Amino acid sequence: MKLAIPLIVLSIMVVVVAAQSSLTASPKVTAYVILGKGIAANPDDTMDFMIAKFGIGKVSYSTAEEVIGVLKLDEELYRLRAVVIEEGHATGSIYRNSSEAGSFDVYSVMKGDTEVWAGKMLLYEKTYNLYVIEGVRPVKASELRARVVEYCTNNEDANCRDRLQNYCENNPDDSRCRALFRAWCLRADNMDDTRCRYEFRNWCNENPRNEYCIPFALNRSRLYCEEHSDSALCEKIATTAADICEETPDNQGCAKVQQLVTRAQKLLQNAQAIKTRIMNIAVTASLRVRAATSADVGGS
Amino acid sequence: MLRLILIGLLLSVAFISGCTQISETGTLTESQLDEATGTIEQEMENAIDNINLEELENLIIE
Repeated sequence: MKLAIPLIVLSIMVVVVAAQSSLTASPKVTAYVILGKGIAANPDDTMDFMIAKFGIGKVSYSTAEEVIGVLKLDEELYRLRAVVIEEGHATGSIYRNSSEAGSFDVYSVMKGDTEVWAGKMLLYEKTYNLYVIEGVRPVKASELRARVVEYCTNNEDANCRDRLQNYCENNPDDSRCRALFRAWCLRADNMDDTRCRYEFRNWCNENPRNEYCIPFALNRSRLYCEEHSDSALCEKIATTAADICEETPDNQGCAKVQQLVTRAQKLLQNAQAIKTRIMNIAVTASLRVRAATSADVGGS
Repeated sequence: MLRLILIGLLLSVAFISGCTQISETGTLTESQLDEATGTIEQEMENAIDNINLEELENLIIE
């Protein structure tokens, strides 16, 4: 009887620990937002520059989700915390060990089929210009399978068939499997994930007139082009879309480009000539309606 | 018998409170964040190894 109480207390402690450890699993990185390499350069001192390796991901565990990352400056490791992302834009704090060392603010911009994250970094009270070229991270076969399963569970799609999931894991380059992955990227609003953007960059290289490819570059560079609406780069991106759309105004992608320019008031506001060209494209009313009711505007 | 029921009840409450203690916090622990940071770092190193310079090589050769 004397032993009963300590035994009960011990049992309770064991049960509590067991309950907690049964739920303690590894956190999952659900999206890789930026994986790239570039240069951080001090504009006031030409020779003050560092090689910058930049990685940001969305991490989830149970109901919690955080966006975190890592920054290597000449192999010095920093952690990125309190990261906020919206499509084509990322900001956050830089930590060295546990103390705050600075902050960063970068925008995505497409240069041809290369995505560049450009912006500012503040490190120990010195400001650097930061340019990071997005790396190459294709979706892996097992990841493709999981995305296809998720997409086919939640959507009716002619490409979804029995046992297709296993087929996609064994044949990740099959066109139907890639199409389902792209559909997942669009439907689940996952263009923040570099794997989706890599898929679309490749797909759009081969299919520049696809309805999602026409607005892709403009959409990815939207925030950058709102801030720098008179930049030659933004004008070039918009011109490419306008050239295609003047030839094929009945393309749904053209309605999406118009929609994008209409919604984002600051976009191209200092490049009126190209803005007018885009708005004058004779997109049919039905396409406009479809673009307006569609959840995605060319890949977002 | 009553004692057994009480002990069972106590253990159930302890288990549930153990479970909810985790879910209520709703945030990632530092060690979880460090683990995820390691994964991101590894993916970053792999991704930048694959930046394609073949086009540039071809241009130089031409």
